[in-house]
Amino acid sequence: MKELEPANRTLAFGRVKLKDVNLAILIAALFSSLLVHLTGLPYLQFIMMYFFAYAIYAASWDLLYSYSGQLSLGQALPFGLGAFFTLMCIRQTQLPLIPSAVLGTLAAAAVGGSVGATTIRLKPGYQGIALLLFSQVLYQITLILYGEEGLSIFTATPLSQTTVYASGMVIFAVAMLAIYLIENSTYRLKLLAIKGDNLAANVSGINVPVHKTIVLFLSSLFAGIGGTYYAIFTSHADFTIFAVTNSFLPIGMAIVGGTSFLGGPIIGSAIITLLIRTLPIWYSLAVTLFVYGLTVMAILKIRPTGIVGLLQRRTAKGGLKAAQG
Amino acid sequence: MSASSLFGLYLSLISGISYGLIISLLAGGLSLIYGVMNNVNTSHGAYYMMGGFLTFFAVSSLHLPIVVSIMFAFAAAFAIGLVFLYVLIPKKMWVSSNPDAQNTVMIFFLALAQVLQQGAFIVYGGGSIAVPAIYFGNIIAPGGVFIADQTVIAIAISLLSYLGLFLFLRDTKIGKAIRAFSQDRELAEAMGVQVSTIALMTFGLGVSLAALSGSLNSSIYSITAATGWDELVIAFVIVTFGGIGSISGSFLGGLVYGIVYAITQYYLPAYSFVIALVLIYIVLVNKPTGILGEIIERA
Repeated sequence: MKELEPANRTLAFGRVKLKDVNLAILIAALFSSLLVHLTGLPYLQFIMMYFFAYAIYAASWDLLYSYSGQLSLGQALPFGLGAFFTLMCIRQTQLPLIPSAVLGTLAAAAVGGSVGATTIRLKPGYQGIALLLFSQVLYQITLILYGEEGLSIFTATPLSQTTVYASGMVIFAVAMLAIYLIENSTYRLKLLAIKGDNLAANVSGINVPVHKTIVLFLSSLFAGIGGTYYAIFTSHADFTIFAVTNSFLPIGMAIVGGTSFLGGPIIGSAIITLLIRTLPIWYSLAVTLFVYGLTVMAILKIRPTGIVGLLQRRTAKGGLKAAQG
Repeated sequence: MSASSLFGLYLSLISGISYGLIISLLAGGLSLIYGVMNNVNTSHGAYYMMGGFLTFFAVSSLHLPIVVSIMFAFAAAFAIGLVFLYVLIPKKMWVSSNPDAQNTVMIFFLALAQVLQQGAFIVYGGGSIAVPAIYFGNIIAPGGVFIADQTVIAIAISLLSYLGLFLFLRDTKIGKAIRAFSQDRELAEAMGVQVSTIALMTFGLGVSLAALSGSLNSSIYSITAATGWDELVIAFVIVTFGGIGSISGSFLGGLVYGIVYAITQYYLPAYSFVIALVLIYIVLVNKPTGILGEIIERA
């Protein structure tokens, strides 16, 4: 995949630094979510809640793939675990919502990270397959244990949509800011070195297995946060959360928006969430997912750097013209 | 163990062997594509589903005899595979050792699988389809077990396909070129082997084997538009067990998978797939070269 070299990253948008663009996209997303809240339209707010969960989910996959070169074809594993563990805590141990959500997220990070840690010695392709296998194991187990109905929570005093929406905004802002800080820290350089050449990174004194494991835990933690929030606002999780199509969701979103930029998963998830939540109003779900698959293929074929890559190219051209003019 | 338990296990084993052999064709195609092109075809399960639907289309819409319909599915899948590779994947990524290019192709094929699956949903809906058996009847195996003729025919076709593939790779010019290319790409290119021809032929053949597998299975069981994802995972299981890049490994891996699956299906039916996946996960992370193959190298 055509990706910008680390050296270009600070100059990718002409005079504007890339990290500022990422921050601007994050602020714009938060501002848009505030506007959506003010409209008072419940369905639009519901779509936005999906966006909060999916954006964190897509950014968690991109953190793993673009920064450490590890490929997960089973990112639904930590996402689904976050959702299931949270609902299990609420239903089976009668814990309040917030401790359940925290425990669910931590459990997702622990299991996702531990499973991922067993695959760090494999090439990215085979690592992807191993993680896919494990997510399929959970697909089967949750189907056996909870049936097609899955797990749902019904409380006598359900949270208001405003509360769930506001908590989504806060979770989205905190998670994205954390990913932004990781992606702009000096730690990023260690990860990029590992991605570039495992052996050279090792020779340079970087403990490759440890850092690969750390980023797997971090990625699982963020995917778990996304899954936990998903379970809270839908009040439900079933075996399909571990389906291959759900693992493909963050990949497609990051590809459409653009990998290697935090802004990419945000833009990608905004577009894809809007697509898969509004198109079924007029067409079937099959048509929606067909269009989604075609969109990902078209982006990969025409503009592998995604929409952010396209914006970057235009800005760079504009900057060049301004300099020449 | 009582006589009835033994009888049940015996029945399960026959069913497992036939299923394992049929599904090993799918795995063989996946293995062939990886061994030659260095690309993991994540859309392989979708071609399996497509094979079943192409056979159904030939039988129900073109009114072709079942044997001709299976051949039609094989040939059509070959052509479709060529078109997909040629039109969708950038030529420089057809055969690549660059991990970024390999990952991009994997993601591309994953998107293609989604498009094919949802396309089948749109055209045929969510219901299951089955194609008629080539021959109706039963044979009586030792022990008084009745086996459907169709199961025996499917086993025979699977074995003949492996024989055909073996002869193709051993005796034909293009087969020899494919083998030479998979062994030493640079030397083969220096001897005049065209990368694009090898990639197209290999991909087409791999896709055809997946379609043949789906076609045979649709005449014994049934197929829906959602079919393919589980089979992709099973193909990974077989290929990983037999060694990625090894055709004979896929054959043996398919047999082993079928037998293990049948035994677990008999004793722990709900968990049979889970047990198979966990076993192979353990093999993959501990011995990524598989039990038989030595192709994968650790990073």
